[in-house]
Amino acid sequence: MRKEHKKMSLAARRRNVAGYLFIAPALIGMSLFYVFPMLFSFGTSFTDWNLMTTPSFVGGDNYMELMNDSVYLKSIRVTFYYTLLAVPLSNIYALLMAMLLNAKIRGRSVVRTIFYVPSIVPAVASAGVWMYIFNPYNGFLNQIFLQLGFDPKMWIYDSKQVIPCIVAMAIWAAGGTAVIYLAALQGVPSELHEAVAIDGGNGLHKFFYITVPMISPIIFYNLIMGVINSMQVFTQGYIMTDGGPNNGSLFYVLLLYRRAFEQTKMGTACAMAWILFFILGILTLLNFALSRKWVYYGG
Amino acid sequence: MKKKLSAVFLTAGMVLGLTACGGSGGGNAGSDTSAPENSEASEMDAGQSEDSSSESAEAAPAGDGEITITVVDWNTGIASDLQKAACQEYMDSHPGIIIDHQTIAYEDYNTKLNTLIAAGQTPDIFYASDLYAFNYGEQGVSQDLAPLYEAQGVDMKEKFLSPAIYETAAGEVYGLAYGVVCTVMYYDKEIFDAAGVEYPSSDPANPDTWDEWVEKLKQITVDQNGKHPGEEGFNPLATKTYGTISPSWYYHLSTFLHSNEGAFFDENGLTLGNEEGLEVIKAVNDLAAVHQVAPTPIAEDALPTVASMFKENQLGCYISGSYEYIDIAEENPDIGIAMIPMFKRPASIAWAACLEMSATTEHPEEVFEFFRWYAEADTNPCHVASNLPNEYKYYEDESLFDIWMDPSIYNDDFHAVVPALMAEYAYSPEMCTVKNAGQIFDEYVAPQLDKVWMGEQTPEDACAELADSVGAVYSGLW
Amino acid sequence: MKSHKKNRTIKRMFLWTAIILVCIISLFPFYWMVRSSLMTKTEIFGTPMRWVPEVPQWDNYSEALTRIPFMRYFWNSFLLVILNIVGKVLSSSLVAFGFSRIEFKGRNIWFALVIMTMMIPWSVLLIPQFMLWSQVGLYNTYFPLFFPAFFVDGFYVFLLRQFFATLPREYDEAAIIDGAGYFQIYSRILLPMCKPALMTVCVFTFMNTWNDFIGPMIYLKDTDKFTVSLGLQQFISQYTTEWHYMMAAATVAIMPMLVMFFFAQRYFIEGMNFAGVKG
Repeated sequence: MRKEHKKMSLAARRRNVAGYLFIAPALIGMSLFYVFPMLFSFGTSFTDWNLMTTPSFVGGDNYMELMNDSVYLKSIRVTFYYTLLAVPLSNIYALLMAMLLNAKIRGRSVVRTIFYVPSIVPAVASAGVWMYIFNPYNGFLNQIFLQLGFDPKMWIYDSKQVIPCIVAMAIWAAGGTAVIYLAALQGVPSELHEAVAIDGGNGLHKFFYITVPMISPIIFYNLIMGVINSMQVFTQGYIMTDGGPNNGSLFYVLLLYRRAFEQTKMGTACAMAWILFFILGILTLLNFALSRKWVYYGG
Repeated sequence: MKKKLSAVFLTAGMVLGLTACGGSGGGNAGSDTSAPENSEASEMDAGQSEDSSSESAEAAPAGDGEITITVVDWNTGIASDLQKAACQEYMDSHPGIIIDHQTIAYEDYNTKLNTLIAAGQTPDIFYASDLYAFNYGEQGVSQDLAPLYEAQGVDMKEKFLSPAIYETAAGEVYGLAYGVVCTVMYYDKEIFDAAGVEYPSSDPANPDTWDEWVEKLKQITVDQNGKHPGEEGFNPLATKTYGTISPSWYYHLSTFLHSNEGAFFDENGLTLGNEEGLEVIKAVNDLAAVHQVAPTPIAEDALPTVASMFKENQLGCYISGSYEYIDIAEENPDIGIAMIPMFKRPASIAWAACLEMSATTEHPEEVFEFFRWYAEADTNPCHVASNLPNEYKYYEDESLFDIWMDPSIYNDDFHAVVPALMAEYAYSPEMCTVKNAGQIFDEYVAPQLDKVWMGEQTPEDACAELADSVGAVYSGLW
Repeated sequence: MKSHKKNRTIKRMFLWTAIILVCIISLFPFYWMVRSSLMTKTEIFGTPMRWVPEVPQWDNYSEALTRIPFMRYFWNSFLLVILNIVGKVLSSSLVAFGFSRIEFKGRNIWFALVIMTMMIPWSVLLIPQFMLWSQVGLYNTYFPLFFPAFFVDGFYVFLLRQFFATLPREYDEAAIIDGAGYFQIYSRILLPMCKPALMTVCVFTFMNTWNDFIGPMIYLKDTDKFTVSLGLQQFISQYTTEWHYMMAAATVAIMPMLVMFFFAQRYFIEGMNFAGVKG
């Protein structure tokens, strides 16, 4: 009995050592590139520091100032608005693309590649193309609008239209999400669809009673990642609109970036980063809480 | 986008320098300046340039080898080649000195410079965007130049144009503008001739008043059916020729505020809401909103380039920095240059990239010697050829004009207007003197004015709201 | 029977209409990029707009590729891609193997923590990571841009762990009886079986590294160390954006990825088999 216990623990010890050896890169990486930076930025968020002089402790001032900072509060509103539009719409479009890609058609690999093209066009170049599409003077959309007899619009030069325009760009670039949905769709057993067909169900029945529940863990996963990424949208605001007009596209991370690297207000920037981390944590928890109601884990 | 323009003028300007100083050091433009090799022999005798290393060791000061001076700016393309050529010329005549000249794309310049400084690699000499020019001094990054010039017996205020000196109220000088530009008005003579309208005044002392100018704009603005603004059936959406593009950028507003004896800020806070300020904002806003002589200020970035609009006769007047001259004149050699219309008094602004020197450099003497050589027109005329000189003497002595105003590059109009304007009516733009300017203008002033341009707010309401919101971050003047 | 067939034909038509529509939407900006890359500067934005260049300006390509040292940037990007792929494949597969095949104490907690790293916004990490690298004197080197790849990436660890979970455990047991250690099981048995998943890691890493813009912008100083995505930015920093050159350079820049995706996509989609993802 005693001997056996010792033997067990020896095997267990061996497993423990091996396990930790295998995950050692992750442990080192997490402490170096995540834990240390997190603590560093947490500490910095309580200081006044401009990268050049020594930081001075200011307590919660950075956080308090942000709460009264109208530009900061606007950037939160803008970012939430963007996320609320972009996440559902781009997921619906991605799921639609995935279903098309999942159909048994000729030339599948070509079509898949085409659907994926928007995700690989460099941001600077796609920004250029979209700036032409949205150009109010001679842009693509307004030329079409004029021909159809509609009034031309200001698009990204209107503080109310700029976010929907950037959302359209995000939807267009949803190929990456579509690929994940496609993989999920391929995991849905076709017997289930056949069963619905035998029971006299149509395509919509199949979609809502079989496909959606079966891939709900992936929908959930994409929603979480979508929220995390959308809340941190940066490039379009940086390259295309410079946050304007009237700060209408001043995304959270764009403001953070400006505060950090242009105005060198590191304390404020780190406080902003931590507030964002906190917001993302809450959104993710909320997502998890809601997921109990609709996500289906088979087997 | 406009923000970018402000600081890229040197780039545009330097293109001109290519022709203006093709002779001086141009031959070195292609050589690799980053190679740590002393080519001092090349200037003395091209044939012996192969074996120069032994000579340079002999000539090096203090005997301990070479001193490297790092220079960082945002010029690209030809401009960058020219800067490198100038650096090469300096290296040729100063054995033992290596100039390491690095170019950073303007788009990313502030980020890069700040990260360099944070990484402990502050360049010995660097450009600073004028909005942040004083910050580096305050943070101890850049050197106070006043005592250095004083030690050499130079009175900076006597020598350099006042807008070129970045001086705090306490008398510290944290940088020197070189390659100065001023704001002028470009106009298309063909359009004025065709409409039978008198050209805008090009006399710096007697510009058109704002109202006179607006009247002219109404006459030259025309839609596709030949109607003018104010006539029945005029369709602003189908404007064929715009009278002008609204000078709504805060650099331009600053000019008009000067002209109206107003300002954005004083020691205590926002003064834009005063009578003078409101008058300027209303006047600029009315160009598009009431007089219909200009496209809406909100989407000016989306217009075709000004050069092509002038060429296609789509634009009558355009107020902007002299740095755009080269681009515009390339396609419109006969472009007219006029003085900016005025409110109460004639005014323009002069501004430039601020050249600063590191306060923590290891070789302050050598770096300052190079700084002077690089920043002053006498020794580094390439910059002068492309932009406007930063020294008074060039404006006072007409014989010096030709050094930088090559008639093959600048047309007669430019020649007639700009030197006189620079000498008498050029103010320093207000933005540079406001503490925290980057944040205040980019995050508060420009967005708030967007609301006015979009017609969502009256100038009064916008200024009242702005006074409130900007108060939290406003911390006075430098 | 006949009506059933007719029904199917209509369905096919709908399907293809939708596919073609999405293809057009997806390809339009790409088409626009290529079209603009062959036009003169004024032609690009001319009214009325032109669908094809009047005279294709092939010179744009040679000009764009010499205006900036493009081949150099190309090579730099490529080097970073290779280093990142090697790093991510190695580290993620090792860590994922540990989490899925070895039962050790604290496994679940550590796994949860690794997953949590996915939720940390990059913006929180940006500043301190930059300080870290500059303090150790590795600013203006490629280290910050590839070294972390050799340690941890929550997304790929998660992906590979899910994939390992689908491989039967009998293989391991048989190997253990033959006297193999964990490392042999990992390298000889499981790694060769999860090629599709590794391919996915490669493709995503390729794309992310190739298009990464902020990392190189913050960490690199010398122009000759720049990457393609940073190089493209240089066409904007001119006084006016030189769209014709930028589009030409961008077209060249995406070619490696297009080719790679086309050939890799079959494995790639297999590799994304998430069946069994748990929240």
